[in-house]
Amino acid sequence: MKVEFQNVSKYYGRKCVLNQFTATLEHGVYGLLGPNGAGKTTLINIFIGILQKSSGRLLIDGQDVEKMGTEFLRHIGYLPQYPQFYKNFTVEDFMAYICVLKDIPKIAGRHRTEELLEMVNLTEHRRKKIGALSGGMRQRLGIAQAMLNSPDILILDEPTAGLDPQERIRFRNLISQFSENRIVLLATHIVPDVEFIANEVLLLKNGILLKQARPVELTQAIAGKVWELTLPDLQMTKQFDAMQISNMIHDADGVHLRMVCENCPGEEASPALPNLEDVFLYYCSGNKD
Amino acid sequence: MIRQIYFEFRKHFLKLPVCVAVILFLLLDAFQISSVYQEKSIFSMMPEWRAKYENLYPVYGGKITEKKIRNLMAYYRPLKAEGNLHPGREYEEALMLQKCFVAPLQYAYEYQQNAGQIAKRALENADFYQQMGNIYASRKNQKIAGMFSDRRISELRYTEMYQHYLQYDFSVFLVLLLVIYGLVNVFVLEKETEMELLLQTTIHGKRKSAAAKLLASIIFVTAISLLFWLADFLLFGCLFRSFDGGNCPIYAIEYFEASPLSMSLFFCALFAMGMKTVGTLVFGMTVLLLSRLCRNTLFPFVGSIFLIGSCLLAYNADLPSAFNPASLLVCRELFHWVDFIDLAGVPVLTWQFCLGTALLMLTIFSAVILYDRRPGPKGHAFHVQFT
Repeated sequence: MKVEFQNVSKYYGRKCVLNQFTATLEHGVYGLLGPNGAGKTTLINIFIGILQKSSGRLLIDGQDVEKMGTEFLRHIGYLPQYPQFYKNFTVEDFMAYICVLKDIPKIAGRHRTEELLEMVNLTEHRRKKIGALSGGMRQRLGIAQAMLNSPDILILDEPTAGLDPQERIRFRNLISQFSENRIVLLATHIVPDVEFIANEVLLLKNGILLKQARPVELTQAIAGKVWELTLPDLQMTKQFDAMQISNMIHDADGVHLRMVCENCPGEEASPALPNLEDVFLYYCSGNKD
Repeated sequence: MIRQIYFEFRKHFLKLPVCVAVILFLLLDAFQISSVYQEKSIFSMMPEWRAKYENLYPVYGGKITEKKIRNLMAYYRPLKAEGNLHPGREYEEALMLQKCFVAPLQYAYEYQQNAGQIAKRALENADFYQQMGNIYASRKNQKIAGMFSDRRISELRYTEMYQHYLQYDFSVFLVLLLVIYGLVNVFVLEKETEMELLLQTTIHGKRKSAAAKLLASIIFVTAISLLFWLADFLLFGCLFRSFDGGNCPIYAIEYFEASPLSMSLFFCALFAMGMKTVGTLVFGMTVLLLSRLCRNTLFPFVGSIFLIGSCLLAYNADLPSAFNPASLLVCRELFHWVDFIDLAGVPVLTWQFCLGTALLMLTIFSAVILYDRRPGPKGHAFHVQFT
């Protein structure tokens, strides 16, 4: 399966929220990374067909999505940003309902539900009302419902928002598990989520695709632009206020700073290995368009 | 589609608060019917009459014959004369006979003659208006003549239960409250839970889902309406201790002497259930439409209360009610007397017009609910979060 975005744009009046977005996705996890307002959700909404694009084309295996009609929906599984589902439904009821919506035959749906609930570790909670589930359980239910129709493309919009670290790790592992032989598009502004599981990162800012590359390529691209230095006290950090500080730790030795900048910020500074957070900071704050 | 309707029904209506509200309202309804019985039934006000009435009913009730009338009058007149002289037991009995047998028998006996006179006068009017060139008035009178020409009441039955059942409205108010409570959330819930986005990405989550919601809502409104109308019927029957009189024509009840209907009381009760259900459905679809158009519960809730309240107030204020679905809810007024609406020169009975407009409204509202594209691609422009 191959998904191609060709010059996809979206305007609200004169405001451009997605500008000539062009990208090709094949099997793997794609992290759609960008600050709030970058256009991630707009792109996803256009992709899943609930928002009309202003211009451009969207192709799946060379076929225009608009011409595929509702058949396109058979290929996708979607988990929205803050789903609450129906509190008075049990987990099983909800899955059965989604089976109906996805046109999955009753028996096949029941088997698939059992299989998925097992995978997301919700089997023992299947008779629980959704209202009684924790946030993490609800997100796991969310990914299970998205997987019901065994989609070729799995779209997850901020799936780890609001989860505790343990649930986030659990959820990331699930995404990796489900990414086999399919395209997973994962929109988030939580960089570690992408860093650990994404095969490729799409870096979006102000509706423009800044970069599409593997995480390692992105980090290599800013090699020599990440620095670490230790200062004796907090007062001295003021001289670096204008710089992009990606981390600051205060301990007995002083204040340890990690910053992203083009040139060495001082004699005491030593170069550090960049990570994806540094990449995010490098491209998404300031004017590195 | 059936499974989808089932899930929509479960999602929105098979909820504990809805079930509790239904049970509480049924109890309230029973209490109200009981108070109607206490206040309006002859036998509630005069409980000692019941035994006597039940003894005499097989003798004077049933098919009206000259012999029965003669016997009744032969029994009643001396009692009345004696009662007038020495008020006491005879007076009480004469009063019971007067209220329960003589007056109804007199009404039934004279009805044929009176109806015949109305028909005759209407025919004369029709001819007169024909000559005057007023075609509409002529047609109207012809219809009246046709309606009243063969009317007769051939049986004397205990119809008190039907009389009060057909005039009972309180349950309509309860049903409307339940309908607002049940339907106001149907579409709003999907938006408030962010499920609308998810539905839009499934094969049957778009128009088919709207259709399933619409049908589930229609089933809910119809079921709740019929539950209450049937409960009313059974409760009235039980409290009045009779379902008798179902075969009598509606005009056997004096309140409906000039009714445009000629059907039996039992069918009239069924017909009233149908009319009220259609009226409730129109209001239900109004609530559903508001739920479809709004993004949170508050506005459709307030809007529904305002719209339905306005319709009921307008009806009570005697404003023109042909387009007001509230007239179907209080259908006893439509059955009360003959009234026409001029529809391009054709006289249409008001109840027929009201029913027609209500069905038309139902169709339009349903179509708007089904074909509204706001939650579709364009509509989402309003609530997409720009991240």
